[in-house]
Amino acid sequence: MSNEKLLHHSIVILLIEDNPGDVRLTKEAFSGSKFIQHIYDVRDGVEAMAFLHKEPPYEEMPVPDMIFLDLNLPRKNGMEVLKELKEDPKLRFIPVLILTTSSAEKDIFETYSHHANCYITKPVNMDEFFEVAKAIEKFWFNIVILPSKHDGSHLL
Amino acid sequence: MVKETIIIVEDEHIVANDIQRTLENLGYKVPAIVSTGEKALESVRKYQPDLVLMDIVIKGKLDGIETTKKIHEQWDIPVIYLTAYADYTTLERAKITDPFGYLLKPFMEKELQSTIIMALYKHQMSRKLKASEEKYRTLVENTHDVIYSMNSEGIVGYISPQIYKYGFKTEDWIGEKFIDFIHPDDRKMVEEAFQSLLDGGGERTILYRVPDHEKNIRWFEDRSREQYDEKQNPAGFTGVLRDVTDRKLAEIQLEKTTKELKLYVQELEQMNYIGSHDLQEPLRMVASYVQLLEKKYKDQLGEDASEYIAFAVQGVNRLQQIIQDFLSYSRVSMETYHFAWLNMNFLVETAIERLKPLIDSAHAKIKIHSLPEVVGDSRYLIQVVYHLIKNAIVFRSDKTPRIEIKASENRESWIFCVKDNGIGVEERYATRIFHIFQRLHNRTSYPGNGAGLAISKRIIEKHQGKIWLETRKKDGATFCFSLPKGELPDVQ
Repeated sequence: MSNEKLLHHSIVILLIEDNPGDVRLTKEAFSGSKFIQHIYDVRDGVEAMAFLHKEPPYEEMPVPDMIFLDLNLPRKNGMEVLKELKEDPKLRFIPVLILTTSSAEKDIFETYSHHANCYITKPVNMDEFFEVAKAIEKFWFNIVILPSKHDGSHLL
Repeated sequence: MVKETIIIVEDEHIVANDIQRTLENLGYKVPAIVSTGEKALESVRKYQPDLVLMDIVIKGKLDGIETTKKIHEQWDIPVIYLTAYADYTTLERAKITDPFGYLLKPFMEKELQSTIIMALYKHQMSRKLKASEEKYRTLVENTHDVIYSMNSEGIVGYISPQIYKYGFKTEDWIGEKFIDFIHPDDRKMVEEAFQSLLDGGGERTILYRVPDHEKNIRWFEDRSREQYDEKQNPAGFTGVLRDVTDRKLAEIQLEKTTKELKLYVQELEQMNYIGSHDLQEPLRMVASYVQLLEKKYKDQLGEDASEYIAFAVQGVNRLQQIIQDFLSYSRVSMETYHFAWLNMNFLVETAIERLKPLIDSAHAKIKIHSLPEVVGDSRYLIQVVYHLIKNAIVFRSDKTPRIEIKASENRESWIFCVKDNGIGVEERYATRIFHIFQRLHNRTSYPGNGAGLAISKRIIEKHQGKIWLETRKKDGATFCFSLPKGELPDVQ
């Protein structure tokens, strides 16, 4: 069953990031991926929660396999989004990767305390960032077995 | 023999002469016998006797009791009444004049003698008591403190004159409720303190505000205890008020300053956070997109463009390093230190592991002596060792870098030194090198921002130690730092 999950181009990602430059760069970094079907992006925490709860205009959107979350977001910040996600039985199975510029100990500690699945500081250098993207791809989409979305929902 | 002088006030000559004889036989001197109150006062003034024998019923305007009152107004001389009348009214009138004896006529010689001896003795005692009271009063009234007493109802019975310093007269307080003079906000606390004295006894020291006569707030430290009457029943309180206004105001100021400082530090932390995120994000955008430009359009751009891009990226990288260094520098100042016993040899080895690529490429030889265990925060002390070893390699001469790490001790501290055979530091720069972003050499030959020593200095200072450049010669540098010996501190 888990093998089926590893089919090429099956992974859907929700990227929660307010900086269009970063959105573009992230998409660029994963553009060669064999596993990613699509990267959806939203600009703040409020939009992110609407997307995940399939509220208008996101009724038709899929449940993502993974969330890339920036911390510094307008309206509802990344930490709040993470907390809500991990307290929601319908959403908390989705792995959340914190993808941020911050390397503050406080942020690292708090996000893990709220059950973030991993914390990555975005490197300044583009080549390094592309390396990070490759590593994410290799680890999270190739080595790690992700939960099936159906399993996740019928557990409830 | 006794030589006390006694004046007799008696209008019956026979009786008077009889008494005189008796007294002289007993060894007393009788300088005068008078028959009226007025003459009695005159003689007392003249002879200043030790005692007066006073008949109550005498000739003239003043009777014995009135005369005694007048004597007591001016002199401290004991009076013994002699009288044939012992009716209640007379006794009551006589009583309030505080006589030292009351002899009913006729009396025996023995009776007279014992009454006189007792009166003289009692008077002597009361004089001593007065003298001691006087001494005590002088003491009380010459301290800086204010002394008070109040009864069980909280009414002030005594307050020492020092209360004048606060614009009050003693009469303003005496007879008034003590609590009314205390600042309204402190009254409840003070009442509770007195109640707890009543319940628990002993002594209490409390601090409260008393507005002075002009309503300026004074802070008093009140050391009070319960007072008892002769039968050991509670009879109110006595206390000493010490003016601690200056101290208290200084404390308040200190508290305020501390609060401001905390806010300031919080602000700095906030800035640190903003720095770590907001500054780096646009920087990342510039670097990444310039690089992306190069990556995607390399063929279309030509050689010049590639060079420009390389410079742009280099600039961004340096800027990022500066931000990182700045953040590290602020963090070592602001973050909480967790002290524990550390094995310095292990710490040095960990730092060396992190520097392995640099050590290998420079073929550096590092000799580590046996090092002691110290109290410190390993995360930060590793940074210090890391920077010192890194500098020792980076600032190498054309010789193979040889580095020696050893420890020595004095009474209070352990001293660790990192000695190299590099280019050394000129003496005049011995202080400057510890300031942040101070560099002595160009970046091409010796890379770095000049933050390592500044960060190390902060860390060592946080450990109550010192860091310095030991050798100031051209044949290498020795950097040393001290760490206090001893126990784990309670606070950071």
